[in-house]
Formats: sequence, C-alpha cells, structure tokens
Amino acid sequence: MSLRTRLDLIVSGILLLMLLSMLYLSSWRQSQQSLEEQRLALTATSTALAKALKTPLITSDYATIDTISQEVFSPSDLSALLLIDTRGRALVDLHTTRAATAVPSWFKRWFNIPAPESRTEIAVGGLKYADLSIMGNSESLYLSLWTVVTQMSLIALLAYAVLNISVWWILRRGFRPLELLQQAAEKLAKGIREPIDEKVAPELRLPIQAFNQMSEEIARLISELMEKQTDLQISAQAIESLNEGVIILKRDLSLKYCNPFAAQLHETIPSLLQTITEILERHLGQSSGANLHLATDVSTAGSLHTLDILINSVNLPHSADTYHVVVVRDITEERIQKAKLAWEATHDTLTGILNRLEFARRLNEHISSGQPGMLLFIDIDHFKRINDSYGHSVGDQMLKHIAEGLQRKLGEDALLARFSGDEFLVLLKHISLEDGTRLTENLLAAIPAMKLLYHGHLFSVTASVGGIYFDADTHLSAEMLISHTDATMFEAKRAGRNRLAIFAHEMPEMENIRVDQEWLDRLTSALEQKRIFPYFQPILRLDDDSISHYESLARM
Amino acid sequence: MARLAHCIALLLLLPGFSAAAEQQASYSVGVLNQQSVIATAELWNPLLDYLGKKTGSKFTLAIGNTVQETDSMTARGDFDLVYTNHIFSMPIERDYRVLVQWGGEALAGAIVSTKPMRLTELAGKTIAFPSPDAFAATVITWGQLAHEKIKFIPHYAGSQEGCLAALSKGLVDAASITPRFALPYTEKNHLTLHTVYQSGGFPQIPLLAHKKRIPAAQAQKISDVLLNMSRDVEGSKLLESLKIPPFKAASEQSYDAVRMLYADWHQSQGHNPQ
Repeated sequence: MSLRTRLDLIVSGILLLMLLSMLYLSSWRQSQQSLEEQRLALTATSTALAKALKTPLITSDYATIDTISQEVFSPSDLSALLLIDTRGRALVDLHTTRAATAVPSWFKRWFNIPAPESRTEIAVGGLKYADLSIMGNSESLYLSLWTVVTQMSLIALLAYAVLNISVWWILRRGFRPLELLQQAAEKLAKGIREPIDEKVAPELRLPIQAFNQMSEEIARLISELMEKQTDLQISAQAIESLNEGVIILKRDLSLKYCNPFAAQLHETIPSLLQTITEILERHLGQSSGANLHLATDVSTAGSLHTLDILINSVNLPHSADTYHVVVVRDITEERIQKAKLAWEATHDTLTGILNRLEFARRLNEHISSGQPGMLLFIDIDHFKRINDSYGHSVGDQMLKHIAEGLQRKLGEDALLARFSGDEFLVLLKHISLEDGTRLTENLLAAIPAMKLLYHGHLFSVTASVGGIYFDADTHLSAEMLISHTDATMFEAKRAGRNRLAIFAHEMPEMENIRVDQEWLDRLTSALEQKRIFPYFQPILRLDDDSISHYESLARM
Repeated sequence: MARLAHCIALLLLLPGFSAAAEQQASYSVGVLNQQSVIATAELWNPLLDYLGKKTGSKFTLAIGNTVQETDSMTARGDFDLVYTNHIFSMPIERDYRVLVQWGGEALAGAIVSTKPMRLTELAGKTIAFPSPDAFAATVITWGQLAHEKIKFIPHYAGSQEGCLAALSKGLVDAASITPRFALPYTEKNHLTLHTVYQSGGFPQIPLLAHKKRIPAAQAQKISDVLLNMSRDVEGSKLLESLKIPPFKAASEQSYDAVRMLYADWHQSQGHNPQ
C-alpha cells in the first residue's frame, strides 16, 4: 500500500472519527439541552400547576383541581400527572400513551433519554397539602434529537465526502512529485538511475536536484562498490586458492579466519597456530602491532619444518579492532631445494666434492689470507679408455670412487674438487713443501689401490699429479695458480704418467712451465677458435726470383 | 393474681387510650376570606399547627373559594371552629360560642382610593366591596354612605384583596376594606392609597367554637393557648414571624352591636339573613 493511500486512509479515518465525534457530541449535547429544556419547562409547569392547585387544595375544591389538572395535562406533551394528598390518596392520576414516533428503537436504546420528571410539594403556611408529580414525554425528545441527528448526519456525510475528495485531490497533487521521487529511489535501489525532471514539480526543485545529485553519487558509489566487491571477491578467491596459508587473528589472538591452505598446513603441523601466537605474544609485548617477516623451524612428528611467516597487524578504518594477518609458507622443501641448489652450485653432482668454481673461490680466500698451501692437480691417466671401453657409467663410478678415496685420504682440512672430466684439484692448507710433497706421494700411491668392483669387473687407475707450493709472497689469483698447477700436471704426464711433479712457485722451472702453459693455452684457444690457418707459400731465390721451394706453415 | 395483672395492664394501657383518644380529635377551622385563600392559609396553617401541638388536637383549615362560599359553609355549620364576624348575621350563630378575638386595633371599615377625595366625591362612582355580608368593609362603610345619602355603584370583589386589586387596576374608583389589609397589599403591590373614609372601632373578628362539637373544656383550652401565645416562647416567635398581634379575650356581649348592625343592614337591604 502506497504512502499516499495510507495517508489518504489515515486522513479519511481521522476525518470520519472527528465528524462522528462531533456528531455524537452535538447529538449528546442536543439531547442534554433538549432534556434540560424539557426539565425546565416541566419544572415551570409543575411550579405553575402547584401554585394554581394551592387554592383548590386549601378549599378542597376537587372539581377545580381536576379541571386545572386536565387543562394543564391535555394539550401538553406530558405523559403523566399525579397529585397525591397527605393521606396517600391520588387526587389526580392522569396518564397518556403518546403515539410512537418514527424514531428507531436502536436510537432510543443508544441515547436512552429518561423521561423528565418534576416533583413539587404543595404546602401553604408550612402545611403540606399534596405532592405533585408530572412526567414529560421522552418520545418528543427522541424525535427532535433524531431529526437533528439525521440532519447533522447528512451534513456530516456531505462534509465527509467533500473533505475526502479534497484530501484525495490534494494528496494526489502533493504526492505526485513524491511518488516520482519514490519511483526514482526504487529504481535506483535496483541500480537503474533515472534523473527526475525538475519541471515536474517546480516547488520541489531543490529536493529533486538534491535527489538527482544523490542518485548520481549513489550510482557512482554503487559502481565503485561493485568494483571493489568484485576485487574483494577476487581477493577472497585468491586467498582461498593461495598456496600459502593465510591466517587472520583477532586482537586477543583468537582465530578469525584461515584459508584452506592454512587449514591443511595446520593438519600437517599441529603446532602451527601455537607457534604463530607465541611469536606474536613475544613481539606484541614490545608494541601494539606487529610487522614481522621471519623464518622459524617447527618440529613435528619427528620432522622439521621451516616456516616462512609474514605478520602484519592491521587496524581497520573507523574501528578500534586490530587484526593480525599472518601469511605462512612451509619453505622446508624450498630450503632443501635451495640448499641443494647451493650445494650443486658449489659441488660436483657426480662425485659430491667441490666443483671448480667453489674451489677457485675458496682457493682465492686462502690465497688472500696469506697462508701457505699446496695446490695439486690430479689427472687420471688413460681415463678415456675406461669410458670408451666400458661406458660412461663405469667411468662415472670410477670417478666417484676415486673422489671418495681421495676425500678419505685428505681429510676435512683439505679441499678437494673435481676440476673437469677426470681431473681433480686439491688444496693442502697450512702445510710445508716437504709435508705437502709427502702427502702427495701418498695420494699418488693410494690412487691405484682405489679399485672399483663394478658389474663383476675390477677397475683400477693411476694418476698424474702436478703441484705448486705457494705462500704469502705468491701474488697470483686462484685461476692463474690453477693454470700453473695444470701445467705442472702436464709435466708429470710428459715424464711418463703415474708420477708427480711438484714445484714451489718461486722455482725457476716454474717460469718455463708457466711459459709452456701459456703457449699451450694460446694454441688451445687458437685451435678452438679456428685461428690457425695453414699457409702455403713459395720461397724465391733472391738472385733470380725463381722458386726455390715451397713451404707450408701454420699461422695463428 | 390474674385479676391484678389485668388491672395493671389496663392501667398501663389507659394513658395510651387517652392519648389516642385525644390525638384523634380533629377539628375543621373555617376562616373568613379577608385575603386570598392562599394568604389565608399561609397565615392560619401555622397558627393551627401551633394550636394543635399545644392542645393535642388536629385543626384543619377550611375555607371557601370566596367569602360567599365561606359564609355559606359557616351558615351550614360546616366548621367546628370559625373565624368570622359574618356569623353574627346568621341564625347558626346560636350554635357557636365566642372564644377569643383578633388582637390589634379595633375593627374599622375604610374606604380608600388611589387619589385623594372626599366621601361625597364618591357619588356615582364604583366602589368595590368584599361581599355583601362583610361587616367592617361593607356593612359599616355602606351604612355610612347611605347615611350621607351618597349614591354609588357597588362591585363585590370577593375579598378585601380583591377590592384592592380592582382598585389598583382602575376597575373601581374606591375600595371598601378594613385598614389592616391595606398596608400589606400596598407594600406588596407598590400601591399608594388615600383614605376617603374610616369608621370608628368595633370588636375584632372573633374565633368561635361549635358548642356541641367542641366541649367547653376543650374550647377553654383553645382559648387559653391562643390568649397565652405571647407568653409562650414558640407562640411569641410565631406571632413575630406572622407579624400578627396576640389574640385578645372576647365575650358574647362584645358583639351585640355587631349583631344589631347586621340586623339593620339586612333590613335596609331588604333581604333576610341567611
């Protein structure tokens, strides 16, 4: 039911109530007034009649009493006249039944006007002669009242109709702009923006303007809200589908929310929540909020998990609530992979010993420390034959076996690395030339003993070892030292393999080795880069310019 | 023993019987229509009530609508007690004894008018009289007019108040009344009266009792009560409230002159007394 209809009904109801009340009050007042008038008239009649009856009562002139009483009663509207003397005798007893009027019986019951009555004691000189009692006629009262009520009802009905029509017309006119506003508001609620034309109701120009502005603003806000809602939904979905645990704790550190991943993580790590709350409690003791990023290890069921925990305490705008948003990742695997990668970055995956790069780095560190040491370059003799003859799997196993054997022989203090293929590097730290030489000899002797039993075959190898002793005065980089040590290994190879060639860096032989190594490196590079070109040129005699012979040469 | 008991019971019941017998005595009291019936009742009802209390009897006012009616009732002997002097023109007077008379000044007749005039100026005028048998207001004044051979037109108004009412309305030129009723009427009706004639004094109107219906002892009792009103607290208060003088003693002989004047009057009028 529309507001206008309700208002119409309310006003109509109020009007009806008012008119009915006025009608009733007027009728009641009219009835009371009529009753009072009749009472007054009755009293006057009674008084006059009593006065008139005094003389005949004193003179006991009953005929005159009758005559006077009849003269008063007959033409009047009285319904009864009773004169009782002091002995209780009715000197006059007149009654009449007035003809019933057209007044409905329900009307009479409603108003229930009692017939007025007047009693007068007739006394003269202190002596009571009689009691006079006259009763009026309520029928006439009802009739006059009914007439008045009927007339007033018609007037009231007419007034009600006129007022109702007026109210209806006024409301209709007055509510039209409001109805337009209402319709526009309802459409706006559904997301349909329809500005209202100000010309519809110039008197409501300002509210309509305000409404139009408001609806525009609301439409914009709704659009923003819907966008934000979509964003929120996306964010919520994203959080739900994250492969990271998102836990939101209230100010009191009770759980507010956790996404499925966090729940799953909690199943794996039952002490997850406890760990987080402990972290927060520790940190919150120092401040009201927390902004942490840390990694912590949690032990559970015999396994250790590393958790990456990011905590941000947020205070919601327009609210005193603080929430702690925790993003937790189990980075155990990641750590393991990282460690693995880190290891692989520094180790040879086949043999498990250091790789060339890491060895070079550590060698640089040792060199930078100024401490003495011995660098060994170990090359397995004829290793290619094993690969070619038995396959790379045997070769790999052999390398692993040799590496294990060398590591056992060298201990933790020395560095062992796989330089390439079948070449190893060894750094003996804090050792003298003599001790280093001895150790190297032991190694050399131990290598052939490192036999490999593989698929029913026993394999054994020898190695050629070159070594350079260096100290604080050796100003070479690791790369250069390795290169020079490589050259010494070649010396051992040239000397017949399965032997060692150790030099101190300051030894003069090292220069030749160094030069040879340099030329070796240059030629190797030129060959790799195809910078060696054969040239074939005639040789001319100087005297006659004839060709003496031809020579071919290689130019680099 | 039984006989003694009966005697005692009888003795105990005797006062009750006496009282009952006494209380049951009820007398009618006729009063001359000197005023309107109502005014008469307003005056005599309190008096009769007092009389009843003092004597133990019940006295009820009885009056006709007019003087003529009351005179007729008087002549018939309807009343046990009667206050009138018209009875002295009636044979029934023999059945009554005089008890007391009205107090105050002697009864006189007066002719009054609304303007000053001499008695002789009433010749040819209309004069209101209460009734043909009113002693002071008719017999005496008419007698005087006749004595002075003044011709006038009589008009019987029924009562003295009626005479004054006719005078005040200009229906008559003069009214013949007793002066006692002039002052109350003029005060009440704002009427100025001029006395044209006033006679000498005669005995006031008496209260008579029927000789047979009211025993002598009872009659004496009534006389005593009325004569001693001024000496009784209640009686004196009543006299004061009614503004009337106390009753005076009266005798049969006092009214001989009245009787004689009535006889002459009837004779002059050529009609026999009722």
